[in-house]
Amino acid sequence: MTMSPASTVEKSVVSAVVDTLEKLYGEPLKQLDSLIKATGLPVYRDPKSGALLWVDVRELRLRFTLSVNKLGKFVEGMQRGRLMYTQCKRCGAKYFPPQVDCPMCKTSDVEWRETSTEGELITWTVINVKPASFSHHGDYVVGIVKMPDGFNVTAWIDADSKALKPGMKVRLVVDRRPGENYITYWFKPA
Amino acid sequence: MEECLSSRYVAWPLKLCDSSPIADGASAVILASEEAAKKLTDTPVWIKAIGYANGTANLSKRPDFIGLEAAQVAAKMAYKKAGIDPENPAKYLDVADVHDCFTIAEIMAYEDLGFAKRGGGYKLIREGQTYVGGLILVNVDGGLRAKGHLIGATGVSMIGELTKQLRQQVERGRQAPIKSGMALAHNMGGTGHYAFVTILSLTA
Repeated sequence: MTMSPASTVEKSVVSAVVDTLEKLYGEPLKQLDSLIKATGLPVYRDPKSGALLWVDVRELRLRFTLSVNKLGKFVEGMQRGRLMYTQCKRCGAKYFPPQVDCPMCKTSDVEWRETSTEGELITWTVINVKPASFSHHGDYVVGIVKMPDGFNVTAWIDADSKALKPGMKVRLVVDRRPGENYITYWFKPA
Repeated sequence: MEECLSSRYVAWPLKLCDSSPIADGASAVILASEEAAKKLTDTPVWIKAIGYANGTANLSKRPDFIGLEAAQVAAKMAYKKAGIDPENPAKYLDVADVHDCFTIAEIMAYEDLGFAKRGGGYKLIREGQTYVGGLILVNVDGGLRAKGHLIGATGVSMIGELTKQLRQQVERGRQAPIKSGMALAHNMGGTGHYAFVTILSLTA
């Protein structure tokens, strides 16, 4: 995996998603059209089991909109190239991903702090089979990094997986990720 | 074996054949009060104990990645209720069904349930300890990887299998020798952040 922005034609996240869905569903939809034209029904026999299957012509599109209203400092931090976490002012519990409500002492009074920029790789996997929304990426590494701040961070690791070792130092990157082109965070070998 | 080892990676180091196939399926049990059970059958199987626990879904908040805390807590709770020594549970059990959604999950289950010490789970398979004549029979129905993972129906299918095992109603080739009359089902969900351990028994 490489995530060098220079080698990637930048396209919008929306067109990336549309392209991915077209690749996934374009051909089956064409087949569905031919099926209806030929037989009058969106019904076919499964080649393996011989079972009759109805293909619904209606399509469900689902996009979530989540409130990050209390996490404005995290959003601003990302725009400035920084990763922010929260610490409860009363009990000192640290939260990453950040949250403003402390389940330990049931208060909502936190301090926003910037994470360190270097951590230690604890473990990782290579995602070979990707979810549809990431299928425009090659195989990518997801790791868990122990931060000196006192918590772990799960993120992509921009490196050849063969070069990774448990305990190795990795450096935080907050930048636009090629592929989606929005700002996110990942690690690379320090 | 050759086919499994040469299957493609899904999420390194796990390959396609390390993973259980999501399958359609159904399972059912008749759950009844003590009184009703005695009317319905001469060979009831009793729920001796159920242990259950939740853990965090967020992998980065887990203390380690070599076991599932929820399963460990659930096992301890079930063993305590059933009067099973957590240091040597295999001695009390004739057969177990564990949630082998992936190959590694079965080995972690051995260790989370205390069939083996931490890091020693693989030896049970290597030494044939989970086969007839070994320490404890595990997944003689083939487990999730062989029979398929029915998601919502998987847990109940384990109870169904173990009920038949305890009543000595399964095919001869895979019938566990029933000595103590107790069986264990280990079931989990999500990313292993909730777990149920059920102990079944021939005696109430």
